[in-house]
Amino acid sequence: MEYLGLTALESDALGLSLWVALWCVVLSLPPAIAVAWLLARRDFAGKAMLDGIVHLPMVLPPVVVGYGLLLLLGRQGPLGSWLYNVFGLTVAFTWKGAVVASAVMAFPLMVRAIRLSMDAVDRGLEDAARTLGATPLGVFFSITLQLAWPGILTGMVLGFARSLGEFGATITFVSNIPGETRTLPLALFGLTQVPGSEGAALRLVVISTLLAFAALIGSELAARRIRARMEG
Amino acid sequence: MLDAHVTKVLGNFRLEAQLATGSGRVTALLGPSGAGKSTLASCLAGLINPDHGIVSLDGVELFNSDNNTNVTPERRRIGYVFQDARLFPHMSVKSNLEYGLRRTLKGDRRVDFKHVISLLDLSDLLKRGPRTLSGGEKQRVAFGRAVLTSPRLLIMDEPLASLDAVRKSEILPFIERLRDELAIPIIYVSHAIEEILRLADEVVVFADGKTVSAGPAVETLNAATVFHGSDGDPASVIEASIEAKDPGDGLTSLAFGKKRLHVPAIPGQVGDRIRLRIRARDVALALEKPRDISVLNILPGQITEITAGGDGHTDVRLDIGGGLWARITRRSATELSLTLDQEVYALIKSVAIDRGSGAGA
Amino acid sequence: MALDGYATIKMPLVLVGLGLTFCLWLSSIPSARAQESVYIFAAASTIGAVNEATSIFIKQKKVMVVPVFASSGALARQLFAGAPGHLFLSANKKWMAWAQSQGTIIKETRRVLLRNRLVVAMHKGRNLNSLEFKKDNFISIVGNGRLAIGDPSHAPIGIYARAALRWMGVWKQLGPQALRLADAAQARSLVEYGEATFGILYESDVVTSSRLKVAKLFPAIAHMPITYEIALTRAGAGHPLALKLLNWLTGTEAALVFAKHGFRVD
Repeated sequence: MEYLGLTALESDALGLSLWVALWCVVLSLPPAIAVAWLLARRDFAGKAMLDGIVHLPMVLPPVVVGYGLLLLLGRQGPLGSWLYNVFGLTVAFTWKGAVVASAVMAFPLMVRAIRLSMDAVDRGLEDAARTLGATPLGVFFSITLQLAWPGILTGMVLGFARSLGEFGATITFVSNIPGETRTLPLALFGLTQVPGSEGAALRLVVISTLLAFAALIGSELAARRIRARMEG
Repeated sequence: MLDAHVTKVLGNFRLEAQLATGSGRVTALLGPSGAGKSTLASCLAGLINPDHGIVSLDGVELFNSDNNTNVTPERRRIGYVFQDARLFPHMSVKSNLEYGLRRTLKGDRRVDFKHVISLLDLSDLLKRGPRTLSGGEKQRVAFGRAVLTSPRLLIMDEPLASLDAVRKSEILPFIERLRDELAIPIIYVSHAIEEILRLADEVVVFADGKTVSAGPAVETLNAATVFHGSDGDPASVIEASIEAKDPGDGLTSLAFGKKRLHVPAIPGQVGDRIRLRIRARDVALALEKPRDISVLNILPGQITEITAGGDGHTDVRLDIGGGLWARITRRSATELSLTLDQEVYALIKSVAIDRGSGAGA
Repeated sequence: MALDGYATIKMPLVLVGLGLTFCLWLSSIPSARAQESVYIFAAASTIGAVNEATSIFIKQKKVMVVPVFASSGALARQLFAGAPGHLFLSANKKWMAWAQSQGTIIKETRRVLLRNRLVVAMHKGRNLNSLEFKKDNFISIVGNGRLAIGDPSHAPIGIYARAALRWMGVWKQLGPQALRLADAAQARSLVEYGEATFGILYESDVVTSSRLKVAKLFPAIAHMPITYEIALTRAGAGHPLALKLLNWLTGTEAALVFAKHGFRVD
């Protein structure tokens, strides 16, 4: 379908990219907050290992991550077959798989940003809250989370942007199916394969850039509002 | 009533302390920086876990290493005021105050919100954000926040340490108000004698992670091992009452036991109990009662202790119907041939008044 | 200014909630594509040709065909893992053989659909007196500028290029400095933009490019035959229209389209 003067391919890819990016953030945010909190507040055996695993998608080639996901979540894979048999759920080759690919690639970025802001939250304030009758969970929601919010917002924007740009893991895991998994980067890839498509490719580049700008500006405005409120 | 003895090792530092509050309203924990007072306070509140020991409040065990009892901080109902106030920056003053109140069961709430606001003069601050407050204002809010949980015990950990002298004297009356109007026992942790003299009924002296002595304020503070005021000089404390005020020559006479001291006019009425602090170096000694001398306060006493100090001085303790320290040069001590049990006269040049426990205490 | 402890996250939570609700409403968009669509998984180097061919088929038969393009290796693995493809068009014999060994394709339907040739390409505007496939001549001319080839370690175009250069005996001299690109499209782009003086590319890429021309065509013996094989997948066997598409693609009408895009048809 054509919207706003965009071709069918463009609006398709744009809509899908936004949809996937939004779900990517929604899916990875709770575990990212949990893992960041664990790394920021607790010491335990294997902490360095957890840190390493979290960062793996950042250091591995995206294609490798994509193949890993395919092995795991494809219909023959251990997790994929279980999901299919128990829930009738297929993740590979669907937009849900694209969300998973983005979420895995974005996870380390989100954890880093959130952890940084949690490290900066004064633990003395958390102690004070305990003496005032707050349970550890209460402290987390009323103090830690609130004060770490700017970092969480940053993490969300980074995750969103990373998803918009995600290519290697996506095309390897969920393939390049128009209307289902063909996000902006994959559409762009297709255009570069065809001689003479530079014009169309450029349009997609412009759309992608505008999108990234909008996300960045949006987050900056939100961060400013939060800071202003805190300055009281 | 709190009863605690705990052991905790932190790196090279070993804390091994006892602390018990008596019937007094304020028990002070006195000791120099690094003595471990804050560590002990944190153990009482449950913010740190001792390695070993027992903490019990009003007969209920909060911590016991022998049977693995460890009540979490949020359930101990022990209020805590920190040196740095620790107001929540993302909440207004009002929300800060209500934070603990909201988490206190309705049946446990004994302290009235409006009462606390007026007691601590907080009504103008309610809508403001913590970042805009001065140090003194922050501490007042911190007091309010802590007492609004109707705690069974309130720990104040060096609450005035980060304030300058002017602010300290502004805030001290608020602490006195809290002490007088809310029936919450207070543990007051500090290294500042002046604050403790003003507020405390009982004192626990602390050094190097150990309890050194404990008992009623004046007595304990006069003990040998303790007593250095914030200017580093040893001092003595005397509890006296206002006997008479003479507007004529502007002097007030204070009575303690059968003795009298004369000081320049001070606020208060006849019958008020006050505490005096007398710096050891403001006390001179004479073998005979001097005559024709400007010093008004000359008291006879018997030497109970002579300690030679490092810098060529000697500290002499007298019994004048209460303990009194005098710091003189070693040369003078030798030339006067001072010995124990000797009867001498103490000449007191100046006296610092720390207001005491308030009327009728 | 009144602050409330929870105000800082109330607003963003509301926005996220709204966003998700909106998306949930939109969710009809990305999901169910027509179940009757035929999916053809084709190598990326055939995008132009396959797109045009399938759009003709769609118009004629009034059927939905969805081409899915990626590298042959990725496609083969995805089909094995259960990807919803009905036809597989591979630019690489090795991957088709692998798919057959895994039982992903119906081996009776496997056949060569397209062929391609290897050329030395250069920018249209350039002039060249003559280029010989003789060691010294080739090195002196091609060695002068930058040479773009596919990466022989994984890109099929690169494997062919290396074979051709070895056949000429110039791989040792020219190989090390050649620019290795991830795929044929990138190699082509480099020559189109003048970043590389020469490129070893597919004939199909050069004749469809408005900016390139063939400097010289490699003889067949210089490399393994460049074939594109097509087959019906096991999933495709169950689809009534997949076989129809396969047969149409091997027919004369499709052959014209492929030829137009520079491929050779049997």
